[in-house]
Amino acid sequence: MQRWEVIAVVTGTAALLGASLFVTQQLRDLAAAYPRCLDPTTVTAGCDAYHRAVGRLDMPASLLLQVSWAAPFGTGLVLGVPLVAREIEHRTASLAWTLSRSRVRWLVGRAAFVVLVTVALLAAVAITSELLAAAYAPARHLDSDFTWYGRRGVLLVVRGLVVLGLGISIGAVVGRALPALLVAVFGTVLLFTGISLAMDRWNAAEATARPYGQGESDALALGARIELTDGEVVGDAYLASLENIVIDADGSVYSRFDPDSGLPDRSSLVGRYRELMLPGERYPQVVARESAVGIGAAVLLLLAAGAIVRHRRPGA
Amino acid sequence: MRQAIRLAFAMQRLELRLLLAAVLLVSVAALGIAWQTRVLREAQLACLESAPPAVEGSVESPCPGQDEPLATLDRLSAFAKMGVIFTPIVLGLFLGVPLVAREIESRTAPLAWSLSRSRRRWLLQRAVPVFGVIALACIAVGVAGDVLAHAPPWVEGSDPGFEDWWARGPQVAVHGVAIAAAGMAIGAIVGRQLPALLLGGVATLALFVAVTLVDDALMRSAVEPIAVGPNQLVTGKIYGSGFRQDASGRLLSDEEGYALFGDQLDESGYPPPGYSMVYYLVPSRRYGEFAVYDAAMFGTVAAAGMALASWIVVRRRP
Amino acid sequence: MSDQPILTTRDLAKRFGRRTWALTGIDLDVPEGGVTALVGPNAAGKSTLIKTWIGFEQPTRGRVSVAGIDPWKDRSAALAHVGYVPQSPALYDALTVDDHLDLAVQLRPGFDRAYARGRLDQLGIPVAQSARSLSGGQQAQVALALALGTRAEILLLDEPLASLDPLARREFLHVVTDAVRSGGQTALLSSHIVTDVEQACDRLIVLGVGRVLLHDTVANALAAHAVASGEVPAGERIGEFADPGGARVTLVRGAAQAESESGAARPATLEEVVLGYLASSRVTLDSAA
Repeated sequence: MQRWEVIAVVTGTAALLGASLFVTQQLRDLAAAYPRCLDPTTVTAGCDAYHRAVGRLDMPASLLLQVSWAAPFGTGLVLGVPLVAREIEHRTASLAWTLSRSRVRWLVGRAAFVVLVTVALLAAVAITSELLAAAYAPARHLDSDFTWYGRRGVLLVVRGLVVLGLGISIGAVVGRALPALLVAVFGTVLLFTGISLAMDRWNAAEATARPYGQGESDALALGARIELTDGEVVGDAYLASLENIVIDADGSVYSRFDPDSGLPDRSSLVGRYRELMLPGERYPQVVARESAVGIGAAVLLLLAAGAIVRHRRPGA
Repeated sequence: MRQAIRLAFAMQRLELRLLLAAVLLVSVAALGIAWQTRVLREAQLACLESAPPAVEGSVESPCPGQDEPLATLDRLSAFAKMGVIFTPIVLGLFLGVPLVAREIESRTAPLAWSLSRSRRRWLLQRAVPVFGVIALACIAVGVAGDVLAHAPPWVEGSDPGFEDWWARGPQVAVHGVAIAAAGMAIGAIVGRQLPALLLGGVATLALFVAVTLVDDALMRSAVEPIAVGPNQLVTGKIYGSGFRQDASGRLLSDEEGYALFGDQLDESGYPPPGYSMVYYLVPSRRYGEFAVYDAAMFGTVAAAGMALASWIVVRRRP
Repeated sequence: MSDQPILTTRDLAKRFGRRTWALTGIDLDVPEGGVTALVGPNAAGKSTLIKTWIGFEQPTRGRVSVAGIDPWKDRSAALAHVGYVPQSPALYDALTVDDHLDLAVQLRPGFDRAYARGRLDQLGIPVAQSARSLSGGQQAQVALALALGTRAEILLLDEPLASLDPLARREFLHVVTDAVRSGGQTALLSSHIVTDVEQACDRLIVLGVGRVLLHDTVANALAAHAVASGEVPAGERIGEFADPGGARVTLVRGAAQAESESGAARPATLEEVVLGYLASSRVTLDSAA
């Protein structure tokens, strides 16, 4: 019944997996050939050729990680939206919902198939994206590193399930596949913007303020604040209220210059820039947190889809 | 004709409402960002004029009140420009693919194709109003994109050149119509909306890749060596740089220049007297010319799509 | 009714895929005027035959013509003579009934909107309502009104009664016969329910396994056939089938009034005529297999 859609996502996923594994192997081969050149923060003689070769793979590697980020959205929408919408649009819902003793049971049967396909495909993408990221940054310990957060790993599967649930629900409401797909795209943007803002806020509440320019590269950056001299922490908008600003290399903020020295007047210190960061070792917890939120959302959306199907008229 | 337009819109009412709302959002966002950028930039320039000169130890602009908002607007404008690029793709696919595919899938084609004595005429009556809407909506978005691209730049005196190539201008309208025509043909072949939409997406990607390659080849063939002086702005699509010996006009590659001048190059890489820096570029003044080539390519795809759709509809079983 | 054929086929055959012949060797001349019933079981080829006349199916072999025009050579000219009601007519969910009339005006030059609207008003079909909210019978009437509004001299109706209740079927047939009688049109109506068409139709075509089994006027068909149980009287034996009580009876041609020694032959009903011919095609199919 969803042959075309399954073929499309399987084909797309296969292409992504193939390309990712190919680039991963290229990067691994380079790392094996230049074992002393892997740390980008140290300059080692004789590594020019390695850096040039890795540079050539920058674009494909970044692009593939971007596509990995997009895979859950494409998979969830293409498999989820038509599940119920097409039945209603083609007027087969009346038949299906009377043959089956329970509409919810019918939906569970249909949804189980697409959930399995979604999980299987995105799990494969999750694994290959982790492999690619590890090969792309061999000096990093990515299990405690926020680099390429959301473009690798288990979050891809969780997001795919959320989008699948949303797609099924919206398809059940709209009752026509193509318009439902449009609505679902908007809905996905809104939902994930909301989830992203909520997660940022949650994470920011646990973030530590690091002095300007001293954050670790494996940390999750959550914005900047200014800690005033009296200890109050304010946002960037505060600076707009000041007439003259000088910001020092160490992140100190002054409100005037010393006309004699031409340097910032140290007596006019306003405060210090602080970067909000979650250290890399918090990565597993943050992923677990977002996964829990995502799974909860996916379950709620699937339950909503069940409720909609149960109460809906089978006509469009 | 009014009836034809009214009925065509009635059949795709929900999609049109959603998509036109999105078009409005993208256009208003682009114009709003452009306007706010102008306001903040003017305030920033005024602030910089009255600010003390940059001093040692200061790493930031003395006018951060506009810095952060301008940086935010810069990030938002990237989203708005992506919206402009995607608008013709989304409009073209979601409005073009179902024109024939939906008729076949929902089995209204036998009714329509028996009432209308000419299937070609039926197709024209269905497609023309929808293509008109796509073209108008994309023109609006393209104009908004153009305004955004010309928003006050970070560097005084520069123009957008070939920046935001597909995110501005009336050529966006031709993109939309081309994608719609191709989508319509694919929908006529496949006869089912969602599979046709997926195929249409793949075809659109292939189309943009192909046109990119042709655009690039055309531009490379039109590259000119333009000598620039110190602190002189260069606008256009740059394909490389080098040096020129002013007296003889002899051109040197980057490597030759660096080998020759070595330590004599100043901090900005500018050569010593007697030599000029040269950029191999397609100058901005030729933007319109290449926009016409681009529109012609997409226009050809549009015509081919319509011809193919027409040929299929005439022969297809409903 | 005129004797001039308005719909013809010559050695028409239609194959789907590599091996499935929906029609084989169909030779038909449907004369102008009156209502012709095209009956046969499901998958007999009724829809396929109608679709060849309307230009929706291309013959694999042979020719068809509509008012003397080959619809595959000049579809536009052929369609000008035809009003069509598709099988399970699908109307546009998003449009009202009135919108459908506007659509027909837009698509078909000369569409008689007032006439079609008048038909709908007579039946009490709410024209301001969306097609989605109409009953099956009402949708069928809208499709018929659209076909009638074309004022075409030929009406091709593909299983229009299939989804209608008895009252709706009767109303539909009444509209068709009324239009044909008053407008001098020719209607060809396919159905697998013989009793419905018996009152309305002048001619009968029985189609079975892609072949024409019988083509005659209803009056002649009834006059020429009888059914017999037990010993079969003299005449052409057509086919054997079970009557509603389960007893085996035989359709005989040319022995309407004859009686057998052991039982009575009696005039066949139209349904029995059809059943007898369909039974004969099944025997032929079985023996061919």
